[in-house]
Amino acid sequence: MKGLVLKDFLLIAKQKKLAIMYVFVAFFLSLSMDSTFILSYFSLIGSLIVLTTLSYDAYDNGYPFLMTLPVDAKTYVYAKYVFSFLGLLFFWIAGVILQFASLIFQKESFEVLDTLSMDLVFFPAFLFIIGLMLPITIKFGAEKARIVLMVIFGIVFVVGLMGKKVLETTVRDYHIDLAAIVKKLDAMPQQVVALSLAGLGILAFVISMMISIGIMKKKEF
Amino acid sequence: MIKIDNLQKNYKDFSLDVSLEIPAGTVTGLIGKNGAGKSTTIKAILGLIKPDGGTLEVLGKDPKDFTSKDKEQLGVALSDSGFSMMLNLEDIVKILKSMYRSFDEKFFREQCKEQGLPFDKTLKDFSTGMKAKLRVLVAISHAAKLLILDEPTSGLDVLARNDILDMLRDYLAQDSERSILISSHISSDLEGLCDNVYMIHKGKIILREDTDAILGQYGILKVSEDEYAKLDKQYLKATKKESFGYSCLTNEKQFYLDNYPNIVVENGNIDDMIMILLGGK
Repeated sequence: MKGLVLKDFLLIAKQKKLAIMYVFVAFFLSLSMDSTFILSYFSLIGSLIVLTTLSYDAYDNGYPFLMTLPVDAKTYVYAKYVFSFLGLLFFWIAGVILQFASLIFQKESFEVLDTLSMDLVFFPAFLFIIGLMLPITIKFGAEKARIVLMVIFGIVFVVGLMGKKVLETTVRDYHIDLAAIVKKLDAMPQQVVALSLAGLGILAFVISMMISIGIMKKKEF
Repeated sequence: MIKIDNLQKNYKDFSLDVSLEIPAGTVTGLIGKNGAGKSTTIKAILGLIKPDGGTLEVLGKDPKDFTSKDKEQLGVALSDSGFSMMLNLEDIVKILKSMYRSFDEKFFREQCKEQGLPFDKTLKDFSTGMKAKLRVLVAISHAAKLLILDEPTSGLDVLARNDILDMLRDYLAQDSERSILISSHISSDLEGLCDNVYMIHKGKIILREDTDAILGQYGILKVSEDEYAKLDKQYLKATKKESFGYSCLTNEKQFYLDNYPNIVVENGNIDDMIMILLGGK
């Protein structure tokens, strides 16, 4: 597994120019933009970068050879998820640091703990996105994965609309006090919400990994 | 080392059904036209595709049960797949070091130097010959018991091909138990390296023979229509119509040399054998 993670790292390290450009953009953003934007920008870049390693593996018909190296399907998936987790963590931490730097630079007043617990939401959110993309990309390849993702978003949108209708009628018919529930959720300490979201993100990531292992085991090269 | 019994794999327009055996310490060639089933057979041996039927045993195990440790015993060079073109040799050394416990870094570096492979260039700037040499070097640098090479010399000039064959001979010389399965459609390469060859055509093995027998006992008879009519055909393996009459492949060259002193008998070689077997009637 170490070899595979190393391979992904070396491939990413080849994109030094791109990385410098990202930092450059981030620097200018940090001067002007809302500090939370920097964090989401970095998390997004991080997610995209870790996902590119899948394209690199598939590029030039690389998979057959990769699977002749001393790794099995399971190890390949583990390595990919470990790398993605660490990659996102790296970019997230970099984003947090830049965010604080920007807050200090822009002389805004802030609570460290409050800001951090807000930031903590971004990590599981992007972990969730990576967890969604990895199995789809492993199954369909980077090109088709984009189409599949659009279809999924379409379905989610339709289901969401229908869900909203169902929810509305349920609330009306059963006289549920929605405002009270929202109020209750709002009253929960922000740290608890952030930590539960982080837990959910990690759980989704682990489930996604199991699915990916299943896909990889069935795959032919 | 490898034992395949009725391995089957069906695609929409192609079916594979092969049996073959590679004992320890032998070099076996797999020859056939493009699309004959060489790569499919190799992919099945490597566990890259799942067979539809038959049994497969590689290093005493079904490839689908291969662990990482088992795979360390294999050295593989595929014709159309390798390390990412964005990497350079230093990167590859690092990766191989962390993948194979018995990776011989000193040997690898020395060989790269000897073969003129630059450490500071990315693979995409390598020539076709350099890429091919690297693929074979990667396969032989971790003391594998079995090498599986799919068209390792394809598209190379004669010098580069020789360099690769020399590397393989050196690899074999280090341990008498080592085996190689090599597929190629350049038969002169196989003649100098293989102990025996399997010929595959349309997904089936149509011939298995020792290389020595092909070179020693096989022959090509070049005969006119009249001579062909009078010929004892019991030792002919295949016949092909030619402008001058017929080319006939025999595995008893001496019989025809003794009994038909006037006909032309050429020594056997794999290329002619392919031409007659696959182009004949």
